[in-house]
Amino acid sequence: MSDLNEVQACLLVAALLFAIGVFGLLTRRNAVGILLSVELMANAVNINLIAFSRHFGGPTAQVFALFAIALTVAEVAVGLALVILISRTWRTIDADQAHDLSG
Amino acid sequence: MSFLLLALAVPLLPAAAAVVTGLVRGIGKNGALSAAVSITAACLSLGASLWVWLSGALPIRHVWSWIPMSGRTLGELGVRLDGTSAPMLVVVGIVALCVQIYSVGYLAGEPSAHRGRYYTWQSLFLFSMQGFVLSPNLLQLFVFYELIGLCSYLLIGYYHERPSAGRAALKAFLVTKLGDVGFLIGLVIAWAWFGTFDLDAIAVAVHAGPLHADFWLLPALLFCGVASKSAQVPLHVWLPDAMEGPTPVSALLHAATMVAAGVFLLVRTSFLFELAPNVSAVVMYVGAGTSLFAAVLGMTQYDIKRVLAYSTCSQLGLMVAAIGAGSVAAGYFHLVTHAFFKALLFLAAGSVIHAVHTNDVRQMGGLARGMRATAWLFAIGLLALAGVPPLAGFWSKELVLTALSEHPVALALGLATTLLTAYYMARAFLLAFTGAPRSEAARHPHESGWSMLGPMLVLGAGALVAGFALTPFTKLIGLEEHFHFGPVGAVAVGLGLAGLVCAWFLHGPRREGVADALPAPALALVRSGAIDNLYVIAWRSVLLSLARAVGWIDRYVIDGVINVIGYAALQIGSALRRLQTGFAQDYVVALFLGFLALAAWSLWGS
Repeated sequence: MSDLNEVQACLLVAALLFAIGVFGLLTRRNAVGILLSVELMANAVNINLIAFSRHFGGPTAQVFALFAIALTVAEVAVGLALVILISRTWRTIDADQAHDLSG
Repeated sequence: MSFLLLALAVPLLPAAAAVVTGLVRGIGKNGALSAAVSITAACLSLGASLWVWLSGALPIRHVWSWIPMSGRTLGELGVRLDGTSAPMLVVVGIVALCVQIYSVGYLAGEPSAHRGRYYTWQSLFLFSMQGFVLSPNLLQLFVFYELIGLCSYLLIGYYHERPSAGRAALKAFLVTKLGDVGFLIGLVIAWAWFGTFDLDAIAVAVHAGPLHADFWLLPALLFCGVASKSAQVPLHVWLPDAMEGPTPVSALLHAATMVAAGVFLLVRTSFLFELAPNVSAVVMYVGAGTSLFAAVLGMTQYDIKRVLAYSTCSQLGLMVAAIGAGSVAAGYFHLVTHAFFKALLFLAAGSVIHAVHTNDVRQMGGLARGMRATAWLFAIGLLALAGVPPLAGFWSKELVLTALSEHPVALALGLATTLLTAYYMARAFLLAFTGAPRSEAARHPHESGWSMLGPMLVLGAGALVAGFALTPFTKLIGLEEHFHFGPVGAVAVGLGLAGLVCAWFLHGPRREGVADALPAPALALVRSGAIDNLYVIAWRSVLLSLARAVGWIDRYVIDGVINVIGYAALQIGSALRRLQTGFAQDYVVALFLGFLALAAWSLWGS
């Protein structure tokens, strides 16, 4: 059993990281930047998982974190592939230029 | 069981012939082969009906369930061959066979494929009529009634390249359907009251129990169907136009099938009419009125087939009047004898038309020199129709007039018809066969071949002797009707002879040109087709305005609702589409706002 303050500190870091990710997601124009922001948010979640794993003990949350990392890699692969397609189609990776689906 | 099979063969053999000639291309496209198949089937069918009848197996009755319903059957198909249907079966068989053989010669000039089609429909027609005659219940009667209507539509429109033939066929179809609607409603009422369509069961029910308060509706509605098929005024308008078909078809329609179906239906359901005296009286007066009305129209015609058509209409009126007056045997017997001499007259007229290529008696004259046999046969038919003893028409017409003798008005109408019938038939004969030829074609007529004369001889023999079958006939149908030659009969024969004499003086061989018996204004009125015009007016005023009203409702009310719904959907859609900006980050903002709202709700809400 670790100290509660230690966990709170970890959660605070994770929340900051998540907020930075959200901010980047909403404001970046560059598609790669958006992907990076998503990565930040995902890693904030991973930090949460590890912190709670340390607080409650047991390997379950760590296993979750490992799975989440693996899934994130896959997601990034798909995301980068999309970015490549976007750059080929519109000759840019500015997310605002790709708005053909507007109603 | 074997007799049942034989009875089934009567309608099914022509049906098989129709299927073979209609579906097997090699046969259907070949006129001679189709004729052979069709005539063989008609011949075997007639043989089967005679065999069943003469072997004394009557009555045969068997029904099969057709439309099953929980616990009982809604519809049944069956065979009911009794004393009433047997004579009709044989008469229809004889006339149809004669007509089919005659058509071989009459239609020899037609394209082979057209003749194939013709024989397909002839066989189908024979099947429909025999199926109708054998029907044990109202539903089957109705089904075959409609088939008969369909077949007559097809055959009247045989010369499909002529627009007038198409119109005539359609007119016959629509006018008869008008009456059949009444028949159909009657069918529903019969089901509602009796829970069965079976005629025997209905007969038991009406004789056993108290009648429904509105019982008269049932026979009245059935009579609507009869009146349209049997061409009673005012539903007779299709019949003269039906002359657009080939002449053998007219013979078949007017003698043994289409128009006879109506009278036969009346015979089959006569027990209902007996229980509704008011309806019977209407039936009698409609029949008597039709007979005189059509006879007057017949006096004015120059088209030899139209003369015969109106005479058919007039004779049907007499049959219907006799049944309305309560004498089923008289009406039915007149139907049987009339089948022989009217088919004969039509075939003889066809022989004339075949020779001179016109229907117009003004273009004929003096044909008896070149066409002796046809002239004699036409004369036999004419004398039989005029009721000259001892030919067939004499016996049946006496019976009819005797049946009417208790109703002075109907009797007067019937007697006047007798006079006029003899007059206009003799007029047609004298104009066509005697005097000087009035056209080039009439100068050198040629007698028809044996395929045409043979059937005419058979029917001529029938017209000569059918009257003597009266006593066995009434015994067979189980209605005693004694023939006695009273004052009414004497007057009728006298009037018939007077009509012949009038015709001789007005149109005899020594008269020049073509004179008319009626004064010119009357002729103009009669020829103007007043009743047709009434239909047109009724059509324009009632039906078209109704259609316009319905069209308005459809266009502005029903379509209006639909259009408003569509317009509203369109407007809502174009308002909502502004939410889809196409910028991925806008959607993420919406996602987060939604998430925050959910979070706020779960923390402070509820």
